[in-house]
Amino acid sequence: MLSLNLKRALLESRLPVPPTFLLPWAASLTTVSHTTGAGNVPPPLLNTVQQVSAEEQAAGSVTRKAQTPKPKRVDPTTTLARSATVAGTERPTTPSTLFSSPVAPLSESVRDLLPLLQAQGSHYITAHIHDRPYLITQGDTVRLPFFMKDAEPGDVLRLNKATNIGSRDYTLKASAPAPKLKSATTTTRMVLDPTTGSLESHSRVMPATSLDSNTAGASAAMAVAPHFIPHIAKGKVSYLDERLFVCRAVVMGMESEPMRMKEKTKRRNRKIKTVRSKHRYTVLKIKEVRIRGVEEIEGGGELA
Amino acid sequence: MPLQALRTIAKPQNGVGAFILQCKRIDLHYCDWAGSSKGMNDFLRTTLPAFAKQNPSIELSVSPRPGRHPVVKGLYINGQHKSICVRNMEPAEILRKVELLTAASGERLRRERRPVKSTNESVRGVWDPFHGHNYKI
Repeated sequence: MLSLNLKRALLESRLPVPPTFLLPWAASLTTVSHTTGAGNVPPPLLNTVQQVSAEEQAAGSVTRKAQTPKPKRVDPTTTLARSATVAGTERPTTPSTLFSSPVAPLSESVRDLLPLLQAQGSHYITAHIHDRPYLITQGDTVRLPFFMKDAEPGDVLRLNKATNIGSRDYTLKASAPAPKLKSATTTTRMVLDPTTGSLESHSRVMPATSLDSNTAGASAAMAVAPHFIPHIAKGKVSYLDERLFVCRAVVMGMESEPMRMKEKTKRRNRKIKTVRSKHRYTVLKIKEVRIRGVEEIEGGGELA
Repeated sequence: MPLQALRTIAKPQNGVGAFILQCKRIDLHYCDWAGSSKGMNDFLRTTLPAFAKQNPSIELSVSPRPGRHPVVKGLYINGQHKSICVRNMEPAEILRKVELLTAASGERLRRERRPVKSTNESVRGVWDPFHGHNYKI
């Protein structure tokens, strides 16, 4: 109940929210540049500012995959409406914000709720190693299902692929993955050929692939896979922005399983072949799970 | 009421703070007469000095064990031993066995079904039927 009330209070109180600089935790945030004046911004950056603002206004409620904001689990319509209007007005007047976070600005919901997530005591993260998820907290031991050849005991690994970060009351999820691509053959259509006379002729038409630049028929809904996609790279999972968190693991060493014997034989055949397996696995210890602050992310400091 | 500290013991977490290698000592036994110790003798002469330099935290002890097969034995921080007989092996194979001993902990070989082992309390709290069952993430 407490967590539900907390979330409701948060949603309701956001609408008549005071300006950012009046909020207690955001008192030090400023959009005024002290080092770069409007006249000093180099021309390429100026161009990108104008381009981004035009695109943002045009995009409206559609979020692009490469620079997707990462919504928290709040009402999605309010989030997107706010981001469209606020982004549209902010962009042209403050080239300094673009200069400090050149890649992708954080969405409104992330900027508002990340400090709350950060302030809560313990955190968990669902980190992906070779696309396999592991739900970990600081101090956990992870035995990977494979052996990392180049990792010596004592090496520190930085895990940068994650889908969820959470605390007791808040969860930061990655945006939805792109829609599944269909192969060209499954999206084949029967099309009536323009023939003269009474004979009807149908032909099967495959939708345009990326090679065919003339026809612009490949809409988002009918996006077609290129000719060959390995079964691994089907784009099922999308990950969080790397800048939001820091997750480090130490390689503790290697362990192996006990020897396994598999007997292979056929019926009515006395010959039994024995296969022995003793796989090795790398063991990691999670050294650090930390969520970076909004200032730290937008300050564009080095990814520590 | 004055601020009171929590009475807790420090949780030992190797790796979270500093990392300490679990293998603290490796004994290498060789024999001058046995033919099975030929690879081991070559290993001791050629490869071992470089290995010792790369792993300064491991105590290495080389001693003859006449009339027996060559053996490498590892001693770990939890007091367990691991020994591997390296009879008739080439120096490269013996190096692989020594590296195996270095990277291992002294634990028994066990088949772990779950990859993540944790002693922390649950972050989101234990489920109870009175709170938040309507809310789905």
